[in-house]
Amino acid sequence: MRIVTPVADLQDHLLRDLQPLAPDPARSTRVRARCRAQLARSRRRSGQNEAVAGLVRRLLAPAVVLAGCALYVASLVSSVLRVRHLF
Amino acid sequence: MDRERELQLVGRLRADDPAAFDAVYDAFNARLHNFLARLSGSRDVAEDLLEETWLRLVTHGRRLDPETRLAPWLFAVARNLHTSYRRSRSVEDEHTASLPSLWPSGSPAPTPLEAVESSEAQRRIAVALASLPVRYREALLLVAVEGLRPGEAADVCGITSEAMRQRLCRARALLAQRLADDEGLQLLALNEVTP
Repeated sequence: MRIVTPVADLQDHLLRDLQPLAPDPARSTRVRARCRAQLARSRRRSGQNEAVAGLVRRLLAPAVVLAGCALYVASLVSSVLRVRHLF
Repeated sequence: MDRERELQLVGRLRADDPAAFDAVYDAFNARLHNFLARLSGSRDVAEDLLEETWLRLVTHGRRLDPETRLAPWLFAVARNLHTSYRRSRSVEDEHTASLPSLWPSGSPAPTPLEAVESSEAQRRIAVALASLPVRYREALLLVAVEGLRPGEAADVCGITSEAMRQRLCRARALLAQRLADDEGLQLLALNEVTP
């Protein structure tokens, strides 16, 4: 809820009508270009990170699981051989 | 900017879309500059803080909440940067009392700020506004000039809505008093109807 008085209304009107202080166009252009360049870098970095994450998902994760399975099987075979006194 | 478009832009900013950044930049750059220039009383400081504000958006764009309201977010960043700037420079409210000297009347070499004040009434209200303590000035700038709702302005300043309403009330009373103090001001009559 806003407290409305004739003074507040008149003041708001005067304040709204204040001449806007416009930014320097040359600097605005530079800032926009700098921000766009940073966005482009961020996108590139993000793309690279996604590529690495994809590689990990597609290759590294199955390799780790496979290695785990291999170790388990080797350990199982070794235990069986030990029980049967063959090794 | 309607809410649907705003949400769409936020979604695209979260994906580092340069076109979305351009749209937000076009919509807010002049407003943020005006806010910072009136708040700091210096175009150079405003330009520096404005650049930092945009860089913050670019840096934090991916982490924006999907429901973010852009105007309060951007003005909060700009306001916080100005607060940090003031702290770092140990600029106290007492110093801002001398801000009217930035707009000297009849100066042979008008400052850039003075040059853009197109009328005497505008110059006087700009001087009166600049003479207010920062907490009152920012409240008036956010609500009366930038058109934010008091609740949004409260979020920007990190205070409750009730505190913002009280702050606005005091700011308006103080502004009326400063205007009335200005000699030969037609708005002197405002002081007589202040509740």
